[in-house]
Amino acid sequence: MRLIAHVFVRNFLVTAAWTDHPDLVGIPLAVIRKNRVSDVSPEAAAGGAFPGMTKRHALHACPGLKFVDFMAHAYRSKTTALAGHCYDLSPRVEVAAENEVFIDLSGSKPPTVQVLRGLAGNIVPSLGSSAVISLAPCRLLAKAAACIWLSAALCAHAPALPGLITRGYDNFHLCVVKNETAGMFASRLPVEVMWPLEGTVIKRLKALGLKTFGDITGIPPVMLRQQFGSQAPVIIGYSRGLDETNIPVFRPPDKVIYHACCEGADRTQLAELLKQAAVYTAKTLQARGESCRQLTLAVFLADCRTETKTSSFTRGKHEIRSIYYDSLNLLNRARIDGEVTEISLAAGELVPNRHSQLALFEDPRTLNSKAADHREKLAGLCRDLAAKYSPGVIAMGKALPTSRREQMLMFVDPFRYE
Amino acid sequence: MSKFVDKRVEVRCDSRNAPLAFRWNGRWAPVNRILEVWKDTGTWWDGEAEKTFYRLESTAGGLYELYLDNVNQTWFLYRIYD
Repeated sequence: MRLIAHVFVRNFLVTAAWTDHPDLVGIPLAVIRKNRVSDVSPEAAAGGAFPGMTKRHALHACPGLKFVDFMAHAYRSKTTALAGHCYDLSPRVEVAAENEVFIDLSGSKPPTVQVLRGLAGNIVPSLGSSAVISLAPCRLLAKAAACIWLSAALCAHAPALPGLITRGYDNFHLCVVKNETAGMFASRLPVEVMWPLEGTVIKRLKALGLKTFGDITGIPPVMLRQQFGSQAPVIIGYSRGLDETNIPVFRPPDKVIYHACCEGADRTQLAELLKQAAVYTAKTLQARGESCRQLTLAVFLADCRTETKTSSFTRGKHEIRSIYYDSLNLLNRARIDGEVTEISLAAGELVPNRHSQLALFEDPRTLNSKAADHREKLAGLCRDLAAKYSPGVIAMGKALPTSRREQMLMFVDPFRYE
Repeated sequence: MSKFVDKRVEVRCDSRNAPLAFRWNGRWAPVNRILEVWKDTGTWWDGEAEKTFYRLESTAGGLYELYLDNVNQTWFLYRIYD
């Protein structure tokens, strides 16, 4: 059974503007994109401005309104943080917009209110004023439920749709479309919320007199094919609340992810894939000069379930063999009782390679050597190493630990003297 | 000719509880039109539940028979016509 969550953060853009300009807190504020209001502060909303208005109309409705421009680059880190919080629930996370994220929770039990409250607690108030979380059997209906709830929140007289359950909590609103009532919910939806389609297609649907999803299901598909050609099957599917688009595996910047499709692979083939995953992960980590202290294996099954196993270790790992054996252990721990379609190996909690140390010992036979060129040779070696590493990473002299049998002359630790 | 299936399927219904689409072989098959609807009481004297049968055509042109177990409210794909 598929279960998709759509997370919408309210006042996301305004909150980001407040971070950069704390002096704008508490005054009517609107974020403008292409001469239209994208987001408004609660003070501006109280004054009558709302998203979708033109700049002129917003200023007319709320005379003291201040404007800031939409700056995509300024929201990137916050959007990544939002996706990172959602990644805690599932490896399949898709960023739909700056303040919108889809999470694929298929195959698992619906998350409890406690789990959702935890997610909302991470989001609010650092990323926005509140969150709207909708759960539905597909992306189309999940986002449609949020759109319907938001439009109802804007105008109090919006009709309640059958099949949509809503409930408010302290820092988030929950909208649920159950699988059994999804068709009923979809049939009453206005075509405007068929959001994966382009605006021109929606306009044409409305021009044909098709105002709701139910209107589309009521006409023969042949007519739709004549009007919309190859897009007709997609529209027919959407009108019945069907959207089988998969949510891709999320790749957080602080993790190294290997992902592969493997329809119908058995355990031997999966082990082979894990070898490739270990090679890729180890090479990437070595190139970045990092080690991982956490490995997570996600196995995606044909019936939409996801088996996730995680292993954490105190010592960072970046060797192929070590990562391979750990991931193989995770595979053995995973409960695989169906056809595997995809696997994903994530290396997380990345730390610098602190154990890349080089200790040079003097040959015991040359200890106390009176050889004339001994000191010159050593000094030359030190100069070569000093040129190779950045200043300060090579320590020499009395501060170094020495053993009885050998005298440590030099200790190279690129990360010890950061 | 037809193939007897009689397996439970996931069905998306409209507000009148008529099938809009059903999931078979991992894919959703949207319903083009419902050709016939009838009720089957079955062996009621043995306690068999009443079923509502739908003969329908998918948008891909396939002909199917689905039934709804009225007691458990579960859907089954009964038969696929060649």
